[in-house]
Amino acid sequence: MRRSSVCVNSILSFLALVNFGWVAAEDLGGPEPSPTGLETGDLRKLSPREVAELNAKLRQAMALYYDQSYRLALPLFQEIAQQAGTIDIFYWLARTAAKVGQPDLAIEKFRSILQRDPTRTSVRLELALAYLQKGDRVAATAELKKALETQPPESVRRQIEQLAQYIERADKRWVATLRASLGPQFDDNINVTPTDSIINLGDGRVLRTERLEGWFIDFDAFADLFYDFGKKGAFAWRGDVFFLHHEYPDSADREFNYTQTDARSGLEHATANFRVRLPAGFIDRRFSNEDLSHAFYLAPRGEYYLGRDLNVTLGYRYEDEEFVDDVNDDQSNVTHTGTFGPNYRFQAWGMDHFVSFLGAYAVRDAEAERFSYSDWSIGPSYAGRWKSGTEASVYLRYLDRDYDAPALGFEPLGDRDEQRYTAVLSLTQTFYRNYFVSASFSYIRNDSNVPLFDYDKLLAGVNFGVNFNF
Amino acid sequence: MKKVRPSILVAQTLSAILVSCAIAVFAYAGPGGVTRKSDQAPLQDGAGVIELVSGKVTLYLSKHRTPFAARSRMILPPGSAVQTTRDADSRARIVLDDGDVIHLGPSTLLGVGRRHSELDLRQGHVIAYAMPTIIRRDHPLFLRTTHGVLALTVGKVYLAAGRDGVEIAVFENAGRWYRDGLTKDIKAGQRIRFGSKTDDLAAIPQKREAQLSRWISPEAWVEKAGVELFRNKDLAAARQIFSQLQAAFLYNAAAAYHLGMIHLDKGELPEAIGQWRRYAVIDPKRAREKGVSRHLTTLISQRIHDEVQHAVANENNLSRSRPEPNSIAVHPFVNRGDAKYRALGKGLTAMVISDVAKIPGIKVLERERIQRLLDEIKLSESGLVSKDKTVRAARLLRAEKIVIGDYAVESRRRSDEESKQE
Repeated sequence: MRRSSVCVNSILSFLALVNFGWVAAEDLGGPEPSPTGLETGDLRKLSPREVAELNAKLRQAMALYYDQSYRLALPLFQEIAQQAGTIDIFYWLARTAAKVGQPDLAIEKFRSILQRDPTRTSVRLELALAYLQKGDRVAATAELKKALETQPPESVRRQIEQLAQYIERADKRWVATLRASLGPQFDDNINVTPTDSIINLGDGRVLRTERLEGWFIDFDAFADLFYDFGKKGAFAWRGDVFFLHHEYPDSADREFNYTQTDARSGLEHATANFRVRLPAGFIDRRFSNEDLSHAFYLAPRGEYYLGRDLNVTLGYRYEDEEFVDDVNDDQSNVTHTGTFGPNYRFQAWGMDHFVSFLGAYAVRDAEAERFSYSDWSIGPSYAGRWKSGTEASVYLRYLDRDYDAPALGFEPLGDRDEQRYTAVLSLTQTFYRNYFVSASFSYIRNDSNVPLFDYDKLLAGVNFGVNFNF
Repeated sequence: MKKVRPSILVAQTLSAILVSCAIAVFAYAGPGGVTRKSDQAPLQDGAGVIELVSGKVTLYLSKHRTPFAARSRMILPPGSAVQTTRDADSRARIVLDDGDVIHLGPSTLLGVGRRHSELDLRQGHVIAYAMPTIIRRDHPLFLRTTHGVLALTVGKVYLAAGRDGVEIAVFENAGRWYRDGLTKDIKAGQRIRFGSKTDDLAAIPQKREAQLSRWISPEAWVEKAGVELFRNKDLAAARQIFSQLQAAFLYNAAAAYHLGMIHLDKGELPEAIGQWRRYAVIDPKRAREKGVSRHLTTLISQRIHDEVQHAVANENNLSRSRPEPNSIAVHPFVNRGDAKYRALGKGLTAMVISDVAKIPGIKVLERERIQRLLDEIKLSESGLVSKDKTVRAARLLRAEKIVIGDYAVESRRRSDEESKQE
């Protein structure tokens, strides 16, 4: 399946980044002198002129290698290796072969080096990579074990273990994730009170509202189960459950308790440049400790990769929501949402960065016209991940929504329309591998032509959580 | 490998321009300084050559300042210095006597040491390519700055030096940095800034290597100048530039393509074929798109035709001349069996040629040339090989040895049937 190939690719790119700098750091003078008499003898047979010619050819090959023209460098290295099969030449030949996607040749040459000098941990690690490139994870794992037996330096040992973990994960068909967090959140507008506390309803009627603020306990849980059908066909199945509960401890605020359970499942398919997900899901929403609504949805989503780090997302969501209580039946609706935008990933300042700029258009057809609308939204989002386990994210969104009818009681104001500004910031720190603490801040400003819906809301809090991957 | 440590500089003057300063920079202290192999004597002649430049570049020889924009090779004496200007196109490529290559970016001043592979980057940006050798090299490349020394035995690094500090990015293998008696290994994929306050270590961002390599190399600028001359139909100047470009960057596609065009324009068929063959290897996709591959086939065919005609016309002279040493002609194998297996002959011949070609020192003559010759002297009319005539063909080709053969394919089914009948 794609995940396997993605995983192998990520291993390779990870190691390409690492590039075994430590190998050369161990022996700054390049590969060690040839340890076998046979090889030295071979070189002795060469005349000074032949050595000079081979050196000239080697410089050409290395210049091509350094400039990443591996395809052109490979035949030169092969030619040189025929005349001077030194460890150094085999090493560069093998690396070049691996770069141009000839793992068999790379394996052959790395093995030749190890036959002459089995203590070269760096070469053994590269041999493991070549096996991995070929898809032979068993052989790769065996080489890693041998590499560990040589008792390499601590930094090298860590790299070997990391690679072994990657392979182990890539081998797994079933992958499960469980994430849960709990923490206090401050809500400065629990009852979503309008900015103006006194609203004139006309005919001498006035609506007075009182803004409630206070704390609630936020509990989130997320479980994900992924099954890889195998490399052939690149299909996988994914099932998720997301649970959210806001519990207001103050008895006066309990009517604002909110619970949402979102379960979805579906196939995923990936090719070299394209990835598509086809989930179908069900959402159960509860408010004031009572059933609020049930929704069924389909949310196909595709990502087309324009390069290794840039992709474009195209998504569609169909949601049919049925409100449980007859009183709210007017709000039962069908919503269609389309999403489009680029996602870009890059590395800088020693961390990974993910930037998205998504736009969406949605149309809701509710039982009552005053709940039907069309809207569009746009905005960037950013996530940064440090190697220290720190993650930061920023989400900004502007939304413009036009309802199909005036709000109830505000008919003279015409059809309701809103502009909403949302900003969400969060900072997460992982520690002891499975635990994290997360601080978040979100602010919503909703401008509306109907004073009742003109409000702002701020949430801030800290969550403590666990994260397990199986 | 023997560990090396830097010395204390006898003199360090960033602003120094005169070569006397460059000389001082490379005068290392004795004990405790940079240790070197005893057999590494000071350079007598050149420390290297300026192989290629673009834009304005100045060479500081002893007591002389020599501005030049020539693209010819120029020997760099020990103690000299090369300076590029702020101009966007000012670049230089230096090849040291042991094969290491240095690309100088703009606004760069680089001094050349009095010993092997010692350079002094006083300001600016360089990319250094330290090349391995067949028999292990005994000394690394030293790149000295006012903040410390970078030693590199094999690998590719970017080094920028200025008043504020030094930036090093190691792209391949590892470099070792020496400063104030301390050493630090910088691994491949790492970038480090040594400033006056703190050292800042980070991973090299993706694509940075390609960006820097392109930016600092004179290759693109010289190529651009050559293409412009070619478009302006100044073929002589274009030829000179592309030849120099190719001498420095053997696998530059534009040089191969344009030199092929220029040779063709001059009627130099073999040279044109050579260049376009190279171009087809460097950039096969573009070669196909530009029709070079197709044109190449026609040119090769034309050349062989010319050569064969010339050989037949001069047969008497050729028969007296000595054959090319270690040359071998593989005669196309002749089908002696069913006509439907005739095409197999080419494949069998190609296999033999391929195998023979792997023998070091043997020169295998082209199959097509042999076939042309055979056609020309009407040897293959009978479909059978006459040894005398084949030898004559070999002589015409000036081949020392010749491989001949024929083949017949038998149908097993038929043999079985025949056996049954018997």
